[in-house]
Amino acid sequence: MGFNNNVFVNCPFDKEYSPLLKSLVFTLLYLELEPFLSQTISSSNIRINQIKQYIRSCKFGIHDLSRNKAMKDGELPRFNMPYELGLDIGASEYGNKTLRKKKILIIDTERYHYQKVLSDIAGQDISNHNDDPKMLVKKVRNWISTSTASIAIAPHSEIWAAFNQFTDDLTSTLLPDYTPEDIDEMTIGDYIKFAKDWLSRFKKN
Amino acid sequence: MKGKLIYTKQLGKSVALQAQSAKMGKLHVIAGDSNWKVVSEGSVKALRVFSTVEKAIDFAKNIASAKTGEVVVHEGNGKIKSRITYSLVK
Repeated sequence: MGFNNNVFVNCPFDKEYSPLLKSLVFTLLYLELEPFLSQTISSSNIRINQIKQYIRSCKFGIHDLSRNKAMKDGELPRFNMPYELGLDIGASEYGNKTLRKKKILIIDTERYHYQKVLSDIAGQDISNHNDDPKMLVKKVRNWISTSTASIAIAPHSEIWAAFNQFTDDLTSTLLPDYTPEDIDEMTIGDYIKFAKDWLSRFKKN
Repeated sequence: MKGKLIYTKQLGKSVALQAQSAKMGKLHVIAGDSNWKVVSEGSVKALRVFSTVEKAIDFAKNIASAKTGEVVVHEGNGKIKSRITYSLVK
C-alpha cells in the first residue's frame, strides 16, 4: 500500500465509540484502503512523532471531533483530535506537491456542533454520523467515492451487509474461547487483522 | 480503550473460513437506511426488503424453518441481537 491508499484515522479511543470505529475501519478495508490509527502505536514510540509520520504517508485523513466536548459530568473535553486535525490540514496546505493532494474529512456526531467549537474549519469536508455506525459507513464511503471520482467503488449497502456478516462470523468463532466483553474490547489492531483475513476470503465468494 | 490482544494467525484463519463457507440456510436480518433487509450468508444483496424488523424476521424464519437453517438478527449498529437455529427432525 502506498500514499494514495493510506488513511490516517484520528478518532476517539473510548468504549462507547468502539462500534463506530469498527464500522469505519471495516469500510476502509472493504474499499481496499489501509487505515493508520494512533491506537495502534506501540508505547515505545513517541506518539506524536508517529502521528506526524502517518500524516506524511496518508493521502486521506478522517478526523472525528465528536469527543471535543465533555462526555460525562466532571470530564474534560479532549484536544488531541483537533490538534492532529490541524497538523493534517497544515501538511495539506504547506507541504510538498504530494501532501497537497491530501483529502481530509471531518466528522462529528451532530451536524453543527463543530461550528460552535471550531468555526475556522468551515469550508472543509464536514459530515455527521449521529453516533450511528450505518450512517458513518455511508458518509465515509460517499466521501471516498467523491475523492476518487475516477474509480467506481462498492455501494454502502454492500459494505454494511458485509460488516454485519463479519461481526457475526467474528463473534461466533471467538465465543467458545472468549467472553463477549473480551471480543468487544479487543484492540483495534487485532480487529483489523481479523477483518483483513475475513475479507480476503469473503471477496472470493 | 486499551483493549485485549486476541488475534493469532490460527484464529484469523478460522474467522476467514466462516466467510468462505457461505453457509446455506443462514440468513441475516440487518438494518437498511429506513427499512430492514434479509440477506443470505455470503451475499451482499438483499433477498427481500421490509418496512419493519418484525416482518423481516418472519420472512427469514419461514425460509430457515423449511430446512436446516439459522436466522441471525442484528441490531441497528450491526451487533448480534439474537440467533434462531432450525434443524429438521428426521
